[in-house]
Amino acid sequence: MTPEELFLRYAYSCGEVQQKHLGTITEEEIGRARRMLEGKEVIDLSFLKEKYAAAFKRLDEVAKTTGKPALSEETLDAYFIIYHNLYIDARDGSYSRLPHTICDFCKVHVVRVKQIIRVPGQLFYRFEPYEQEVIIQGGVSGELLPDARPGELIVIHQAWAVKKINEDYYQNLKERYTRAPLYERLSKDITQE
Amino acid sequence: MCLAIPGKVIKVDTKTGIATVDYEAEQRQAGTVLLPKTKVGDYVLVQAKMVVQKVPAKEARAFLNRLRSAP
Repeated sequence: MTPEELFLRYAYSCGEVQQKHLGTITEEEIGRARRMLEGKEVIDLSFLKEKYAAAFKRLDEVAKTTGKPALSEETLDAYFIIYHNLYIDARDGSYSRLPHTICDFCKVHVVRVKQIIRVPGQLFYRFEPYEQEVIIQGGVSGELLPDARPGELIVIHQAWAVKKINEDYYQNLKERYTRAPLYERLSKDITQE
Repeated sequence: MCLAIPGKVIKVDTKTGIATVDYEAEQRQAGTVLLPKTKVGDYVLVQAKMVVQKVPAKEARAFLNRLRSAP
């Protein structure tokens, strides 16, 4: 999976509600994002940067900490898995306008797959929390990640399974980036909230 | 940025488990297999055509009111 594809997995899960209720993305653009995800259309970086400007701004900030490009696997993992929820809790940008339940729904979590649920044409995972509490009650869609198995750790965002994650890799990521000044700064922003 | 919008359950087909969720501008159908206790009047979040989370009614109404009054 390329970094662009990984970013798109996280971003796509937000698209439909943005279009229907906020008008920040059109139905046609969601269809475009979907085609890019499915490999039917080349990923257009300028499109992603325009539609997800706030995320790219934060990625640029995280890239200064990782020392890697904003669109690299390491920066994306550091942003989504380590820092994303802190930006939410600090009510950064549009998160300031949202109630807590919705903000919590937007968070990224690492969870352990407990059970695979298949309904006609769809796949879902029930999961158990891993280290953090998760507000999502029912389960997550496995559409973007259809090959996870019970016992495996996965990253979830907005009730979608995004990627599998190795436990050692996750612990190492945490070890490195929770000690960075950015983590301390964002934590301070939460305290001041 | 990611935003999820709560909708109100206005019907649950007990045979199929399919809920009809009202978003004011439109209605959508969603499965309830992940949250089988979903009932009429609940405010829920739906992803991938499936009810995945209940939202406290007070919070959902406050949020929807805010959306309505947004410019």
